Amino acid sequence: MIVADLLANFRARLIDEGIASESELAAIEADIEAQLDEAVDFALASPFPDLGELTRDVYANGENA
Amino acid sequence: MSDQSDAAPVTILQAINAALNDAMEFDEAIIVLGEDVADPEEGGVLGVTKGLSSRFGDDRVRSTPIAEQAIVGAAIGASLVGYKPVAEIMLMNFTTVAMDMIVNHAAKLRFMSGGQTNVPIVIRTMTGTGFGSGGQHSDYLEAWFAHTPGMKVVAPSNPMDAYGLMRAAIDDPDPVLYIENLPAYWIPGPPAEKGFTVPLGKALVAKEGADVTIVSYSRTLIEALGAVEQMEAAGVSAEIIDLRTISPWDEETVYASVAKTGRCLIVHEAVTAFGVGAEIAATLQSRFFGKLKAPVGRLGAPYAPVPFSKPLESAYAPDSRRIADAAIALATKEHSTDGN
Repeated sequence: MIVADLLANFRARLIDEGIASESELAAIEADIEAQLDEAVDFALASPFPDLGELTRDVYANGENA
Repeated sequence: MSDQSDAAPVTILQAINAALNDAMEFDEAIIVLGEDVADPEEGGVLGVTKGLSSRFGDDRVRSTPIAEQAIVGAAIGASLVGYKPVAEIMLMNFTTVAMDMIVNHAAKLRFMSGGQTNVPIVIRTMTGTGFGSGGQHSDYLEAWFAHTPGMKVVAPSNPMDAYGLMRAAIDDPDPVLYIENLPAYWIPGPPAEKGFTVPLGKALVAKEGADVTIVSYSRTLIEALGAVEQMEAAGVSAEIIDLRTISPWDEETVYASVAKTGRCLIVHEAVTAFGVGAEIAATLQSRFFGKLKAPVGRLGAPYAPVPFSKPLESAYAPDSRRIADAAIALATKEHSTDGN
């Protein structure tokens, strides 16, 4: 079935063409979801950055400009 | 001024919408194009162009693909055959995608054709910190366009100027970049009368004062007005000039003020380094060398992209408190030769 969501279309095509199985894709998706949840939890649990970080990582040395 | 004191206040967003409505009613050559600008797509991401396609038809108000180069390119082409396009590049950072069209074509076709053609387009674009939109959606890039001969750049700070500058920009025979500040969209103020225009290149003395001249535009002009109380409490009387047009800037109005105060602070939300403030400061110091009571000051953003994190974003752009601190420091500084 063709729907407007290109990601859904691509997922179906991977299965249709035998490139990946439903269970393989489900495992990848579960892994990504877990990584996202972990990142969000970490962000919400972290303090806000120090104002000194405003100009950090503008250039390669990673220090303040 | 064209102040209708009895009229209900309008927001900057409503004023721009009214200017487009009135201009399109007045001149059928005016067309509007950009991402989601037509009513089936909600009349713009924030509704600035709401109602235009329903009123004036799909031929004159077109939602486009997400293709900024094509939006400006189509506007330029239409302008060459008699239309007056108002193109929207939703966010100022996305003007980068259309830079070839803006810098190499819109700004130069009059010059390169020996005046045989011109590009009467308006490019509307919105930007500014305050929404946590991050570094790719919040930049003030006006210096790039002001640095491009052939372009004009305007940035209103209140509803009446938003209306008047839009009408003037549409009427102008050359390409105009029209900068809209995101958080300021909903700031109310007196409406303009239908047909009101603010001449391009004319600043407004938003507040008179004696000790220091503050030159600004767009969001930081509003912040400068918010700094008045703190400055007055410190005994500092600031004259606040709303540039309104960044290029060409109103040298005459700024000169008259600085001749009076002897001190000038230029404030913008853009990164200070290599910014509009540098151009104004250099011009003032050439003209007023020896007469200034203090070196011309600049206040802008640090040399870094706009941060996503809320506390960092709040610390990034000049606000009323930082403007007041800088103006008070400048106003109480005596001219010296110690390099400060």
